[in-house]
Amino acid sequence: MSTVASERDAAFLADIRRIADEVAAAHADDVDREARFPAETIAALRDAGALAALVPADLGGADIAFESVAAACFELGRRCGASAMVFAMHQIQVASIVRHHGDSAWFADYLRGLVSEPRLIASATSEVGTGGDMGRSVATVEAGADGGCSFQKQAPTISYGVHADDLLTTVRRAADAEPGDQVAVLTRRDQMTMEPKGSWDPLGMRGTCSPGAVVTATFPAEQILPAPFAVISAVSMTPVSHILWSHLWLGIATDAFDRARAFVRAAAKQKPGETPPSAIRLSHLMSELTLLRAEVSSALTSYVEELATDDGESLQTMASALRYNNLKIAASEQAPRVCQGALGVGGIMAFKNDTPYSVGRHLRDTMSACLMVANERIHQTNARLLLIAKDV
Amino acid sequence: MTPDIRQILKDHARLSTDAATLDAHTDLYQAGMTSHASVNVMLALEDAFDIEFPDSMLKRGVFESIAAIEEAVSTIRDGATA
Amino acid sequence: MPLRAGIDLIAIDSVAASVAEHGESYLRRVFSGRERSAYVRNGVADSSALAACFAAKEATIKVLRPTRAQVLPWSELEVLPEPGGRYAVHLGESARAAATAAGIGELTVSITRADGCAAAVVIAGFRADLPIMRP
Repeated sequence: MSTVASERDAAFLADIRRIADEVAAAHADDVDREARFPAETIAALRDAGALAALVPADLGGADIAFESVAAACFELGRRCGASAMVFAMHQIQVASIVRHHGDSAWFADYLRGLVSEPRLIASATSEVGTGGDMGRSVATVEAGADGGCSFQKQAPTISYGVHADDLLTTVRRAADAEPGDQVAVLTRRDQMTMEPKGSWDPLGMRGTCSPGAVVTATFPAEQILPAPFAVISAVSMTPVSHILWSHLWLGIATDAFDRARAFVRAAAKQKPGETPPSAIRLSHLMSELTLLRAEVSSALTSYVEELATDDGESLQTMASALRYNNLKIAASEQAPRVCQGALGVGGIMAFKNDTPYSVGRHLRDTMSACLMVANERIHQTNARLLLIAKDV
Repeated sequence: MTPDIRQILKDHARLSTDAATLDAHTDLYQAGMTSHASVNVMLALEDAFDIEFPDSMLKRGVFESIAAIEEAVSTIRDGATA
Repeated sequence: MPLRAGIDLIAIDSVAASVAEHGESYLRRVFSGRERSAYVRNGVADSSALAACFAAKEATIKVLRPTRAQVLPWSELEVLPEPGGRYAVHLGESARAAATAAGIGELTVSITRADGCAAAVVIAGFRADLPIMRP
């Protein structure tokens, strides 16, 4: 990385830390309690240009390294899981558009526009009636008489949908296309209506505001990403999702550990010279945290290396798919384990919601990890891959 | 080496004649090997000889006869790939 | 206006058997990354779609008529879904070289599946600016 690039990345991360510590942290409990959108944090990220971080230099963007965006998810995760998740999901959409917009002049302009007038992008990839399989769609692109297109999709969940400017939706390519023959469409707020269905009152990640909705959109054909969604999913969306989510889950778990450690040190001050029993529990907890940290870090290194080698050719292998699936499974199980361990260290002070050592929100937020996407579904995929993969 | 190749052809090439009796220069495609069968032959050869056919050797001529296959396999094994 | 045609028929079970026997090795040798993304999802290979794809590749080879010595990996003849449920042939570098050598310009493919088989026919037109080679 050149000096300019690394300075830019350092400035980016400094901004992120500041926003995390000063804005996200300040509102995290309220966001969680009220299940409200972390508007202040997202506004601060918008103002700092962080939403367009991944836009490449040739489109006027800051061209921030993927590793730095992953680190940003970690930093935000330490202070507010919901803020980190909104930021991560937006970046997944941007990464997918950046990598797969091909020769599309419309999408090139869109990305340029993100730099000057940042827009928050949500996604509607799941659908009622597909049994949680994001590789299949019922809704389809319908061709209109005037050459325009439309779709209507019933999404069981759209994270921060009503708070977003734009939406990336997966639909079947055409009315006679197979369920697995999907494309991704980017529609702007003024091109669609989102009719909310159901509520959002979950155990954790309460600030992601993810009720379902029926989305109806009308748009010109140029707003369909040229690459088939199957390619976008395999090369970008799946590995990037798993990596960015794992980083924010690690961030949440790290803050839970830090709070547990703060508790132990405060307890130790009461009896100087003695090692409190909670310190031993903390040591056990550190082993668990280090495992998570190692897996997340190793996966990021692998992904960056793969991207840089033969233009990401190896990302198409089954070994690669298995690798990033395993990251998601491991991180989604380990992060709540660390948070629960922190609860065990901090005892009643961690169990109460209004102390400096509270980790209830941390535990509840990381408990969402096993559900998005359901780990059983990932194990099913891995099982099939293990049968036919060349290398693992 | 030849016996292995004839067995592989027997198992995977779906020839209309017995691979054991084929002349080393008989055109295998004319003997009934389809293009898809030639893929299976190639993969079986790779497994049996622990080699990998490089892209540069993916020509129809490489699989057209037992002799051509023998030559290709020894070329790869000798490390002298094109 | 001169044209050239190629056709191929393949049993879907043949493809399923190759997937079962050779797995990813088979998939990566025959199909491009884009094709695998389209026809192999979450570890499930759509043998019917892969068979149709292979038939189209072979039909294309019959149109291009590469010489015995021309390098033409199967993965360089991409057959991908298009809007409206149709398919299109996309030629990689070696395939384009073979097409140019043969004077072939446009290619169009039609695919059908029935009774456990997939078939494809490819019709090619010749370029006005190149000599037509008839090997």
